[in-house]
Amino acid sequence: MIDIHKNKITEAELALHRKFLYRYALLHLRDSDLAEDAVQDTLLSAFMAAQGYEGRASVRTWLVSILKNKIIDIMRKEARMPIPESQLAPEEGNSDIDEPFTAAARWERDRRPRTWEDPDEALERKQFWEMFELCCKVMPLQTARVFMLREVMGLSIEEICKNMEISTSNCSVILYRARMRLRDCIEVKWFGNRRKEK
Amino acid sequence: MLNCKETTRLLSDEMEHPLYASQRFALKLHLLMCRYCHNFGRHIKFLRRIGKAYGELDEERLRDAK
Repeated sequence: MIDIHKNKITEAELALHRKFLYRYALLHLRDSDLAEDAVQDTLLSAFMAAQGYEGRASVRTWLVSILKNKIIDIMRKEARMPIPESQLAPEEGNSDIDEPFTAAARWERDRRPRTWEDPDEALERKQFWEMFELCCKVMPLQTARVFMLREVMGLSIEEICKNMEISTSNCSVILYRARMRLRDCIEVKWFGNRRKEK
Repeated sequence: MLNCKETTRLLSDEMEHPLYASQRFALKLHLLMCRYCHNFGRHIKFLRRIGKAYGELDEERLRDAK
């Protein structure tokens, strides 16, 4: 049992937080060892800084805020190292292959964005989040990371460029591709089979 | 006149910083005529909601799909 400034956390609660932190770290880092390290570090920091927790935010929010910094630290270290070749393929080099546009820069017939029925309702479904994680996993590593930093962590594009050591214009392109791919994946995998529609 | 490729790029950029008035005008014009790009714009805004919701996910409250 950890005593966080009079807020007792039971083993079971801790296990639940741990599971969530791991999933969150894995989504960002995409490496189980790195994710495990980040979570371990987070819990250790949390334990050491327990008196710094003032009970304003929920324990979960507090832990996630520590975890965010750990994840950014790891990415910063990684940005200085070359990305393994196995992680670079298949996109970064030939990004035009998966474009949903015709030669005239209009939407390909079968890739046109359709209307999404009741998207808010989807957020409450377990399967939706499993599908979301899957769609993130099939994106190239750097593309996925930039997207997560922007939309899940909520960092500004300037902060992301600085941490990942990429130029602002490159960052916007990566973000654009991530949105394009993720939107497409979610539509195909969740919002129904577009090919049924005309 | 913007094409769909340029329009989607602007829609993505618009989520990061304000566009110039001329860009906004061209964008609006295209969106009035193209419902696919219109959908695209709504969807990438929804992606932002998804990202935010993921950070605050409470697995206990999730339901199974129908």
